[in-house]
Amino acid sequence: MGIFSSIHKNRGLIIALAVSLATVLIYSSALKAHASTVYYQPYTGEPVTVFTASGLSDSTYVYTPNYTIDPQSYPISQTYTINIPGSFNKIRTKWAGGTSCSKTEATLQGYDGNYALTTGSGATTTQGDNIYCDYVFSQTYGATTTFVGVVMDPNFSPPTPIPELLFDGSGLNSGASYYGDNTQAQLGGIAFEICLDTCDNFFTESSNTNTRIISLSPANNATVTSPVNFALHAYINPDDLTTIKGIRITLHNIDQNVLLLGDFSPSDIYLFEGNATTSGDFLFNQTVPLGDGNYRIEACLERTYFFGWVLNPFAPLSDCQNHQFIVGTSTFIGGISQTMFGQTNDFFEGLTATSSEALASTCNPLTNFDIRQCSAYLFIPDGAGLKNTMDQARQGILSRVPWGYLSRMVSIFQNSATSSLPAFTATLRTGPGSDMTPDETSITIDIGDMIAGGGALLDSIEDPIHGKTARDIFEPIVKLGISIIVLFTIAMDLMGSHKHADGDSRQKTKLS
Amino acid sequence: MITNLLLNVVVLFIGAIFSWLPQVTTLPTIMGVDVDGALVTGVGQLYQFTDTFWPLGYMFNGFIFLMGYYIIKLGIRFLLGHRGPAH
Repeated sequence: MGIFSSIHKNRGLIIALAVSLATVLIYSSALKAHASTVYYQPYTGEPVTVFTASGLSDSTYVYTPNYTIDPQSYPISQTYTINIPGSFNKIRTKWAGGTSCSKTEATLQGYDGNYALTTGSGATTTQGDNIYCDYVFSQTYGATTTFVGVVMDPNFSPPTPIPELLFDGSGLNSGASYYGDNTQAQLGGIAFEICLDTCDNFFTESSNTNTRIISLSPANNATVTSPVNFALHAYINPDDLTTIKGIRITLHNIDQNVLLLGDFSPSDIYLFEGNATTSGDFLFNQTVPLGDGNYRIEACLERTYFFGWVLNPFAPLSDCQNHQFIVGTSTFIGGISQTMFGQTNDFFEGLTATSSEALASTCNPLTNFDIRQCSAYLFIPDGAGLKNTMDQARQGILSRVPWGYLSRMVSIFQNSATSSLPAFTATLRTGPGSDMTPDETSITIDIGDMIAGGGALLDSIEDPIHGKTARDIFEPIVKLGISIIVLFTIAMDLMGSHKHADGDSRQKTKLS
Repeated sequence: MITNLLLNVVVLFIGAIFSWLPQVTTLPTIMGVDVDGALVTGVGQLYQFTDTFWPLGYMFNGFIFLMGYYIIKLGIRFLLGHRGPAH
């Protein structure tokens, strides 16, 4: 009797066990504990917020303002100031890259216009895997309302170009800075911790080390001007290196592609397409001049797929983000396409509830009851939860002996890292020489060099009109053809397997 | 929500059944030969080769995918017993 038959027979016991486990799972998710003195301002004009419960926003970059303190340009206002309770003498930010902490200073500017600088430049503090910039004041300040900023001091830095300094406002504390205005389009933001002697380091309630896209710019539904700055910040967990195929950033011109299938569009621009060979933070930044119109930027952390589209059950799902934006002025058809895409995206994104509180508020028959949303929340699986479930299945089930060996082989085949081809050395005798020192010479045959040369030759042959190589032209056709052959073989095999394997089958014989 | 819950329960249940089995991180060494290292190097060299001769890469992927299908079919036939698909 098969295993599934046994499950069917004992379904009552299994359901009872499932309900018990479900109760434990729901109440165990209520663990929340956070104590922090972290403040965060997403971008200019937004209030500086005190975070005391949940973590900081993941979609952040941090900007370094003008390197001179200019109250005329950055006036004190309610949106910039924060009320700091208690005493403090230190400001801490989390360094993520770029120039060193010593080239920056932190400032406090009182609401009455007075300001105080740190005694000197920022000091680098390393604790565990984290690196912080600490700015220590010469005195301890009491509770105050103030404006906090971090500047790059011209005395320490060349006037041009201003080196970038990466701070962190995200859950993982990695961001990119831009010299210039900290606008919403730049996704700028700064997180800083106000401390008295000792900072507690908790920029988030829990460190998020999941492989994911943290931020992407331009922002969704933004209107920007050319040239457009594209930026991506992603994080790759070391455990996911073997299952991450690569990182791809694709720019779609909606106006040209609105009637075309995405994969066959000739106008997509691959801003970045590469393998993920190292874990940690991935930062991409590029400025591209674009004509007026409607565009969509898609960033994907691609998991290993077969033929680019068949889901690999041994790998978690891809993580993709789409942001639509307008350069200059929108076109009619591009605007319609963007609206449709945005509504469809919002529909499915909005129909998942990641917390029991959201579910309860929508399904409450006394208030805000919506049968459609309640049903969707109940039955449509949440993407993040689905991903976690598949991660658990991979780690807890698929990696066990003996099928774990198969999983390991699959992950080896999924890893797209390459190894250099071997080289062979042959020793040839060229002359009589002597018994002690024969005349010899050696020949080295490096297969890698031979193939690399052939590859370069193939890629150099281009279509004179469109500038496409043979691979650009024939690759989609070859990919489609092989996919069809494989799927056809599987379909034929399935069609011939509809009869059960019956050990008692009797063959009908025709009596003559 | 319910779907996520059910999937989590199924994964937890199956994981609990097989939790006593050891986890596999690398392939074993057989008779002094590091099978894992050899396979990693070999596959890496194959991908280096198919970087240039890209049609072979797709053919290889197709072959692996087809073999995966046959392995899954074998597994289903093992689990379902006499209700499994025929040869």
